[in-house]
Amino acid sequence: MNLKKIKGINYKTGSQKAINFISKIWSLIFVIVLIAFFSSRGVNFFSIKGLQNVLIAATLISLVAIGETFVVISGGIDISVSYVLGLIATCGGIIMREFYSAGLNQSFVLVIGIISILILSLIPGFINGIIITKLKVPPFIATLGVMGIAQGGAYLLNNGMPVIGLPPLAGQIGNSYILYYVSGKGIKFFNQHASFETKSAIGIFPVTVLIVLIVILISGYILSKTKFGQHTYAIGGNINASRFLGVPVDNHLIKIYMISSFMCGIAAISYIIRFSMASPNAGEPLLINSIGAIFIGGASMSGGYGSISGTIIGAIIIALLQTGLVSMAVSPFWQYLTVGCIIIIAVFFDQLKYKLFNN
Amino acid sequence: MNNGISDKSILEIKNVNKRFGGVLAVDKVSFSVGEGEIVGICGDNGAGKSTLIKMIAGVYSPDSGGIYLKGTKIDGKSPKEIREIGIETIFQDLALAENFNAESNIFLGREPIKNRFLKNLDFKYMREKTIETLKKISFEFPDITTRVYYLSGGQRQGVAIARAIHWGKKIIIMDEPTAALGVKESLKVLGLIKETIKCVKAIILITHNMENLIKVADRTIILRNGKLVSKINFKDYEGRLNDLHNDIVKAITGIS
Repeated sequence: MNLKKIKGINYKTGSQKAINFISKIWSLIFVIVLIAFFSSRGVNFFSIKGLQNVLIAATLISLVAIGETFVVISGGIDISVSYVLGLIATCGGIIMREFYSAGLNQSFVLVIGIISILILSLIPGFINGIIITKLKVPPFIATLGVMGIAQGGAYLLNNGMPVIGLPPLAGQIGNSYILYYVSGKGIKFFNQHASFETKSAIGIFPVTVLIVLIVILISGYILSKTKFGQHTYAIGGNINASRFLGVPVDNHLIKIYMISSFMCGIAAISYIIRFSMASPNAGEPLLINSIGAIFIGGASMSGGYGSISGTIIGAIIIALLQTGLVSMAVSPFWQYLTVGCIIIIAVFFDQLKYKLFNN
Repeated sequence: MNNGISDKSILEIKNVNKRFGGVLAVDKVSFSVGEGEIVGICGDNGAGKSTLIKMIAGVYSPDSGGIYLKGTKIDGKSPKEIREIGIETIFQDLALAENFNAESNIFLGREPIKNRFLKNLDFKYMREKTIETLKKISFEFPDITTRVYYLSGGQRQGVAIARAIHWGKKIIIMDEPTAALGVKESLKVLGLIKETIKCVKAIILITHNMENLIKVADRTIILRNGKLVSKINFKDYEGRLNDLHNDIVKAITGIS
């Protein structure tokens, strides 16, 4: 008997291989099916405007979902994102409104507003992280509680009303493009605001989409290439082993929940510049949509799996559904129903995959 | 008088005590581990085996007594410091992240960084060192990029052992390395342990399984109710396997 060697086993049978392959690419197939379905119903995704509508619909979902992706990979969940976004947006909106009504310069008001949003947005995540790591409250309950607090806070701040009276420059930036096609002159870089867009100048690349693109690149790099990303996966894979092997688990988790709420802050900024207002329930549909995007994108409920690219594909699927249903004049309430069903199906297939491998 | 501490010993445990509330988990245990030795720690459930190795690994510090590595006192150090001085422990449940492949597991918590500013991981270095370490113990792998989730129990132990060898230049402590394995896989892991001793100074093996212990170890200590009740050198029993079994069982159970 040869004691020396552990021979490789053939761990991938034909059906396991097939399931593994399908689980990797099903979301892409789903994108194609959705486009085909909506196209057959007369929805045009292939015009510049059609594509822009999908991408713009995906921006808020993507931003919130990217932060949540870190949390889900680490084996947690952040339920608080929806109203944390609403609370931060309301705070930021009030700051901008007050400074603007005091007669300060628009650009200055915007900078102050954005900086305070970014700083404030770190606080809810820090609180979530402390409750989860130090008080040992399970993430679902901890973030549910923080969501309640944020919801109450957001409504109390402005008596439940949307914050209006923001500097007009916000909306101008948020609805402008960094690339325009000007007939006769070709592609032009951003130096005009929204009113620039006319029949002869077509906006190509929306500013809000650029924000998401930058966030995707940075977060994708962090998650797949750095020690921070590696530790995030490790904690999701085996939290006790990670702790024993010297990963600073508690600090890492606090940072992850801070990333999640920081991304809510960036989403709040893009909400404000897109709608020229802030609303306490700005993030309400984003909880189900962002969590849906993550699980469609291949993350696992038990942690350790998931990726930014998967999440973005998930966000695009949800955005396709939204814009497609709206274009078909179907009640927007159907969106929730459809996304809910897709989440269940996605998680079911994820579980099925592991069952198949275990047998 | 030889009180269990030999001259060539690399690790010495002297009169170590550990109490949890009213329970004396480890009661004045002394033994030593020599260079090149595989030493077993045997005992029933609750005999104090886990507490003892957790003290060596730095998870607990002893209430009294001392642990010495080549004469230097090491008890009271943190698990991290213990690993840094070259003692690696493979715990049953604290071993691997199933979502990682071999190389990510070997470097888990100690990842090499390529560029300080970009903080990117040096995946190439990780891959090269992993292959190098797996070769050292003649560990054959179906595919080095496979996540541990898809590996068999024996292969998982192989990855855990490879990590211990890569980092633990002096002593490796293994907690029930064959506990969850079938007979075939167990034999393979025993083979790996025999290869491992060529790479490090000493191995401490904790196991319930006498058969396996006798196959690889040089000698064993036996704990009962926190006390060291017997030290058995397998060489003394050459050709008398039955007597060896009987003596170990007697020591473990306390029934003569």
